[in-house]
Amino acid sequence: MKKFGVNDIKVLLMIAGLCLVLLGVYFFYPRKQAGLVSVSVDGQLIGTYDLMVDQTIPIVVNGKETNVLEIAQGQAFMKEADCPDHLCMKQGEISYQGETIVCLPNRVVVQVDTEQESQFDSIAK
Amino acid sequence: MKNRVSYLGMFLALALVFSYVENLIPFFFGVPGMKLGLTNTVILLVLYTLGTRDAYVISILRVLLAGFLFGNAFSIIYSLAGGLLSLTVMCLLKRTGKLNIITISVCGGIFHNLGQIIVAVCVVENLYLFGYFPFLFIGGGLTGLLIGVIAFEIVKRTGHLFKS
Repeated sequence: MKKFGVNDIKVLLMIAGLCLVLLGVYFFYPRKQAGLVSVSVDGQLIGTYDLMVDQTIPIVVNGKETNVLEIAQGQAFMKEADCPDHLCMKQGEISYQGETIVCLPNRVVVQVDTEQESQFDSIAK
Repeated sequence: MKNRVSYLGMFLALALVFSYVENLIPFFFGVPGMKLGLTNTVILLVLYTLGTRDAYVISILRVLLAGFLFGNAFSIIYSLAGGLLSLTVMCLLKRTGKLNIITISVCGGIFHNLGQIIVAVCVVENLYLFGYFPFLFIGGGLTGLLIGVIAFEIVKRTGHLFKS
């Protein structure tokens, strides 16, 4: 049994190249600070909240409070979750346009929206 | 092949143990749900010794049993999507006969993550999830490389024991 052949090296180099391209796209893609976060459950929007207002938002799925989203200092993060892994809480803080926090067991998606420009940005201008 | 049933039982048990061990390792790669993919060593070993059909049998049974033991209905769906897509890709690549086990494992790792992210996008109905794809691609490639090297050594040393 062979370890590497010519074809293997070609394919692996291609994959490595693709990795670099994807990383490049990720890091150099222009990111805007946005002002709103939207919360949706099962693909349905249940509310949008201003990132500039510090607040705690309980997220209710099927009549049960499953997650708690907290907004503080212009950033949103998942403060509590009733799922076993708490992966949504480990996803950290979001504040850039298009960033998401996802809680798969409860099908909750928190996403930073583009509709309104961030107040930080307009002050910075 | 008279020993097929006992081999399948042993490999399935091994795959289950790896699933359990994997649950014990807190391996957080910046991306939710990212795992080492230790079971893939077993799947690769089966694929290279017993054949395609048995690899599918082990893969599906492993996902169902591990899901019932340690996970939930959701984790079964994710694992099944990732496992089947990755195994199908690995089988097809192996069938071409042009690539060796390490490269096949790398591709398997990447497609495992691709399958899972597709299911995740369908479940939460949000295309933005594909934003995680760069990390999952790189993570899948790296873990696939590691698993591929391990699987290569195992198949090289023990593969002749299980060949019919």
